[in-house]
Amino acid sequence: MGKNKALVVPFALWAVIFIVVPLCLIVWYGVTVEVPVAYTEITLEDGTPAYQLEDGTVTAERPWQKKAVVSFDNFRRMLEPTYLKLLVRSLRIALITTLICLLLGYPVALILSGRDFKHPALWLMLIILPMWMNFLLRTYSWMSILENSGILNSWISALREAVPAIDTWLTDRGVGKRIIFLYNENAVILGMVYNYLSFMIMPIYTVIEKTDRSLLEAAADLGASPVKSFLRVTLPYSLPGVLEGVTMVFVPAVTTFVISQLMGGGKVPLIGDIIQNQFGKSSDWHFGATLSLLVMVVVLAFMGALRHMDREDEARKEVRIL
Amino acid sequence: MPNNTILSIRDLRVVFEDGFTALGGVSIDIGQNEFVTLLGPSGCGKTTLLRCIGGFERPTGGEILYKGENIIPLPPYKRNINTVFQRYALFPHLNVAQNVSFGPDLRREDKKKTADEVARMLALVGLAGFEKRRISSLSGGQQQRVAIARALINRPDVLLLDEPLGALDLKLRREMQLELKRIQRESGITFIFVTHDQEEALTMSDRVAVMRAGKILQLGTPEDIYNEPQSAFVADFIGDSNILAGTMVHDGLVRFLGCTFPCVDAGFGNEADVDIVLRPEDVKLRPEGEAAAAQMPCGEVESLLFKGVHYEMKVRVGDSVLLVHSTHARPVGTRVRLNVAPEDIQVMHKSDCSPDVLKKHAQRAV
Amino acid sequence: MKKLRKLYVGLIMAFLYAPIVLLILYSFNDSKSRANWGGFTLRWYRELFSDSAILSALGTTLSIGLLAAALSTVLGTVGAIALFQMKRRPRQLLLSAVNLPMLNSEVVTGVSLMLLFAMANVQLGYVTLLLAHVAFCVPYVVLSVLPRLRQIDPHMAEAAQDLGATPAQGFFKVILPDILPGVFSGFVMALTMSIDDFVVSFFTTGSGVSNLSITIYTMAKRGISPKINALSTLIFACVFILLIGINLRDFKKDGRGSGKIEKVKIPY
Repeated sequence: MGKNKALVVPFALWAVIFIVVPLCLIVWYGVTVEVPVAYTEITLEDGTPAYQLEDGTVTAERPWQKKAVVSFDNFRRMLEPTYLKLLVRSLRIALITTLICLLLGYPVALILSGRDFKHPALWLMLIILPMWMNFLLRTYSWMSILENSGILNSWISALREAVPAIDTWLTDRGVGKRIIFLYNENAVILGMVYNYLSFMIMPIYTVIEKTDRSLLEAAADLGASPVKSFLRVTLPYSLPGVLEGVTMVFVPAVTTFVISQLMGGGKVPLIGDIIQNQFGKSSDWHFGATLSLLVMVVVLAFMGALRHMDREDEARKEVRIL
Repeated sequence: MPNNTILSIRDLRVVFEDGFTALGGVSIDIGQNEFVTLLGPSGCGKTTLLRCIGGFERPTGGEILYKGENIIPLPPYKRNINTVFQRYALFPHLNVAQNVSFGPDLRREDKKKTADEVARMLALVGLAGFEKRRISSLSGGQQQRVAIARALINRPDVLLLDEPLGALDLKLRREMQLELKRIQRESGITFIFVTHDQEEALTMSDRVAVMRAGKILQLGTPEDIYNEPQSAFVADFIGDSNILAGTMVHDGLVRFLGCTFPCVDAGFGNEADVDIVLRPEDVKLRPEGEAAAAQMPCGEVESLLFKGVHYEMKVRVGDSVLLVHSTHARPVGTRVRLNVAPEDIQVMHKSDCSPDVLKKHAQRAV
Repeated sequence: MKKLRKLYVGLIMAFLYAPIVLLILYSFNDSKSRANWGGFTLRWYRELFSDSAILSALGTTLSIGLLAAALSTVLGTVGAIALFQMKRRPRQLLLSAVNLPMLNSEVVTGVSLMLLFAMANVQLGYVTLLLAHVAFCVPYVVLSVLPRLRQIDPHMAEAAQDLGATPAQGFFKVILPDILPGVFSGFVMALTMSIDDFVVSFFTTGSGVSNLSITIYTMAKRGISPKINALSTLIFACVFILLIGINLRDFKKDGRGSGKIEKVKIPY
């Protein structure tokens, strides 16, 4: 083991400094608030006013320092309706996004793992490729499709001019000249689905692809219809991939703050936006940390509910390679 | 005992961190160009012993003298001993020639000389012309040969082989047994071979060490081990055998299965409890009514299997069931009498290995 | 039925590529406004190379990406080997610590690192940005190297030493070549994560150091310059050609057989 120590120590040290300590800091900031230091105004012997701190030091200036004290004020504040509503909205939007991604993505994974495409891996690569373009830009590009003077609206009005029947039909239903797509919850959901869809397709595809094809053949051999063999074989076997995909979509969706700002135009703030604010404009790090803690707990609880323990490397004997 | 000892192991002990004794004092001398097999069930310590010689395991006591010098403090790469690993441990990113020349290349030997040597080694193991092949394109038997060539090219004095034939099918295994024996003879290298296959041990070895629970129970030529097992365990492990509880009435007379038999063993004392080993082929069956066999134990044939060269029968005598090999079939249900010649009766002291030690070793192996 | 399935995949593809196609079109649009098409131009590409702000952001993104990927590859590989050789209990403990950043959301990772730098009194800037990127990249490297280590023959290192290699020689000649694919994919993954990252960078950079993501974020509020579109088009084209080039050989070689995901070289 001696040689291994030379590797373990620096790595463990790194893990502690960059993973454990930062998380502890969040907890610490989360359960504390900053208050001005306590002091008493006194008058010195020569008659000048001065300030005495708790530890006895005396200064001529009014003390400006603040100190952190343990307090659960921020937890109380977090439970105010304003923030609870935000949390509920974030969760709702994230869940809807996850569900849509699953409904859209599962068939793609299923089809690609079938025999329809000659090079399924090539298609899979094409699905991942968009991620190489900055996600802010892609989201921004959606805005130019959807905005009031955007492409979609100009196509619709062109269509209306060309086919008057559609125009009257739409006008009768109270649809204005410009349809408002952006700056509402639906736009935010669209932005998220767009950004996270690949995260859903990838793991599901990987799992279905690995599933033994002879299982399906066996099911067919035993008289199962395609629908039945899907329900009995493919679906249960793909479940780990689905869980992985759900996690990979839900976690970023519940905490994002960029997509909601762009697609929601600031009208659909999410919990991530509030956290970002605490470290920017409002500059209340302690409350920001409390909210981060909340998000962390929500995410971990969500995944705890989804995931079973990873039993992969149990009972493995000790192996040395150095 | 070899006259030109190259490796001398003295009271070697290995106790693992968790307190488990893998080797409980093993001593053995191994001679130049000898083929020694360590034989035993899994968990008996044979692989641990091999790993100590190779330098992969640090003994907690005892000595390993290599040409008279204790090599325990030396790391594996400073020992002139090479190993053929159980699953060969070939390097998948290198081709056959690069695998074989790994040792010489490390020592920065002349490239051309090494290439010639590689070709010679590959020819020796029957893989001439395989230099450029990828490891993944080789069959199990071919990989095995590459592993041997890779070890032999370093001209070790001792080659350690850790169940190298375990992964091969029966036919290939037989071939490789002969091949290994040939290589050992031609190269003049000492082979220390680990296996749990008694047949393999008997066919290939000059001497066999039967191990159990971290100790060598018996060391001897294959013939000795087979014909004169010194304990019930060895007898049972080497070939099929019937082990029966018996009593030594006095020197030259033993009682088992309710009858007394003349035997050639002596020195156990009077009325002493002993173990009796009978090889299945040594038990002769006689018709029940035969007058000459009237004093012999009587039994009934319970099962009959045709095994090619012989028939295998199970004969019940009272509470015991004996395995009998015979070229003469007797139908199930036949009443027979059993006869054993005095020199075919192996009398042994009661086994001293306590059952719980064995159990612990067996669990460890799983 | 088969046509229907193909159509469905086609539609999803259209959904994924619509904004990208649009973005590429805009990069050739001779008009600052997104609303109308002012004719084809290469003006933005020309102007891109004289825009020092964008170029320096690109420089930051690339240098942080390469440095963070290199550092986290070394650290992650060392960590994976250390973890691999540890006993079960401590291994699981350390492994779950390492996995935490991946389970956590980016916001939490970003905030926690920002607090760390604040506590250590480090001025936010290039160094903190780099450290933060290394911090969230290492787990991905560990995760792509560990499975490789599990696959290698447990006696490989012993075999190397048996043949006369010192432990160090054994590592570089035998173990490293064998786990190299995992190390490489870890590097690519780290590079991708770093280049694409916005959230963690947002919290851990400062004093005028800004990478592409942050530049774009700042721009998005007052309108994105077509120059950025031009840059993104260039980056996208490079990656596209690279990936197609790497993979095409394999596709040609063994047709349908390469449908296995393991054989396709994609980062992720």
